[in-house]
Amino acid sequence: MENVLLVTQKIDLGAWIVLLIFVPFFILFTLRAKSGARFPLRPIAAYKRLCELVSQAAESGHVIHVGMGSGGIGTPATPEALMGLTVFGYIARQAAQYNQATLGTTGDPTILTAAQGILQRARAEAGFPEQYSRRELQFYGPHPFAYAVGAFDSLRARPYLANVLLGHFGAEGLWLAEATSSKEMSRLGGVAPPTAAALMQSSLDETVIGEEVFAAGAYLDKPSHLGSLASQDLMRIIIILTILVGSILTSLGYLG
Amino acid sequence: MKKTLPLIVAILCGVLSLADFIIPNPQLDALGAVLVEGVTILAAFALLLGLLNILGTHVHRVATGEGSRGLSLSLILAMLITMAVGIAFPHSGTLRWIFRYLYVPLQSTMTALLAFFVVSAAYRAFRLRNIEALILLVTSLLVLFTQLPFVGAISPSLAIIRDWLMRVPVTAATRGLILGIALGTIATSLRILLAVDRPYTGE
Repeated sequence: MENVLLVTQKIDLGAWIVLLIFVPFFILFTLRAKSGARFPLRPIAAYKRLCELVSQAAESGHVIHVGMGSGGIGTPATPEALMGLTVFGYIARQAAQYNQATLGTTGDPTILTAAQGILQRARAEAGFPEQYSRRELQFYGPHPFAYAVGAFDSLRARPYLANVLLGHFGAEGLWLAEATSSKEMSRLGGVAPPTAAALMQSSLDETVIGEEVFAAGAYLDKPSHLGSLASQDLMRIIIILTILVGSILTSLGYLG
Repeated sequence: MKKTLPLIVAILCGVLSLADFIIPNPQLDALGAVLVEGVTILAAFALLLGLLNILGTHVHRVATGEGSRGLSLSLILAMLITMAVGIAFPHSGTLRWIFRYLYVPLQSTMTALLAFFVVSAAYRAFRLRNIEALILLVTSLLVLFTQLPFVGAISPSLAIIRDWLMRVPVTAATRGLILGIALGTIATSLRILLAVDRPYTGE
C-alpha cells in the first residue's frame, strides 16, 4: 500500500490531467476535420501573404527561400522545427507542381534529412522525380550564427521573391532578417519564444508569434491540422475558466 | 511495409518516451535512456550527412563559379584541415588554437554585428505607423529612460510606473504567449505521436 502511495505521489498528476482532457478532444476534432468538417479560422496576415507569395512565385518563376532555423528533432525545439518543415513542405509541393526550384536552409542535420525526404516526395508526386536536387536544401553547421551567415550567403547568390524564416530561431533570426533587409524581397516568418519573437517582429514585414507558429499547417495545406487547432482553442478556454474559478475561490478563501 | 514499419517504430518510440516521462518506473527509465542514446547516435549520423551536404554545395560552387569561388574554397579547406587535426590529434594544442584564435573571434564578430541590427530593427519598429507603434514607442522610451540612474531624483513615480509595466502587462502578455506555446507544443507532439503528421515518411 505504501509503495502504491509513493508511486501515486511521484506520478506527474498535472501531465496526466492535461493529457486525459486534451487527447480525447484532439482525436475527436482531428477525425471530424479529416471527414471534411471545417472550423472557423481567424485571418493571420503572415499566412495570407505566404499563400499570395507562393502564387506569385508560380507566375514569375522566382524562388522562395525557407529558413527552418537551428532547431532539430530530439531537442526541446522539435515542435518549432517541425513547423518549419511544414512550411517548407507546403512551398516545396507548390514549387514542384510548377516544376520550379526552391531553397530550404537549416542549421540542424536532422531537419536536413527530413526536408530532403519531403522535397523528394513532392517532386515525385508532381511527376518530376528527376528534378530533385540535393542542392535545394542546404545545411550550414550546427552553430546558429554559422547557419545565419551561410543562409545569407545563399540569399546573396541570386534574387529571391521572399525570405521566409519560420522555425526555431534565436538572435541569429534577427541577424538573418536584418542582413537581407536591403534586398528587394518580402520577409516574413515567426518564432514561438517571446524573447526571440520580439526581435523577429521588429525586423520582418509580417510575423507570426507564439502559438500562431504551430497553426502553420492548418492555414496552409493540411486540413487535418484544423482538428488539433480546434482542440487547442478548447483547451485554452478550459484553462482560462480554471484560472478564473481558481482566482474567485482563492479570493473567497476556499483554496487556502 | 516501407510506410508501415517507420509508422509502427515512431508510434512505439513516442508512446514509450511519453510513458517514461509521466510514469515513474525503473524499467521505463532504462528504456527511455536507451531511446535517448539512440537519438544521439542517429543525430551523429545526420551530422555526417550534413557535412557531406556542405561539402557538396561548396564543391559545386567552386566547380561552376556560382557565388564566391574563393570563399567556398576557404570553407572547404578550413573544414578539411579542422577535421584532419581533430581526428589525428584530438587533444592537441593546435585544435585548441583553431577554436580560440579563429572560431571564437569569428563568432564574437557576428555577435557584435547584432548590436547594429538591433538598432536598425528598432528604428523600423518605432516608426509611427499606427496606434500600436505609438504605444510601443512610448512604453519603450519610458522603460529605457527610467533605467537611467538620475531618473529617481526627477520623479520616484516613474520607477513605480516602470515596475508596474514590467510586472503586470508584460508578465500577463508573456504568460499568455507561453500558455499558447505549451498548447501548440502538445498538439504538435500529439500529431506526431498519433501519426497525423509523418515527417519521417516525407509527408
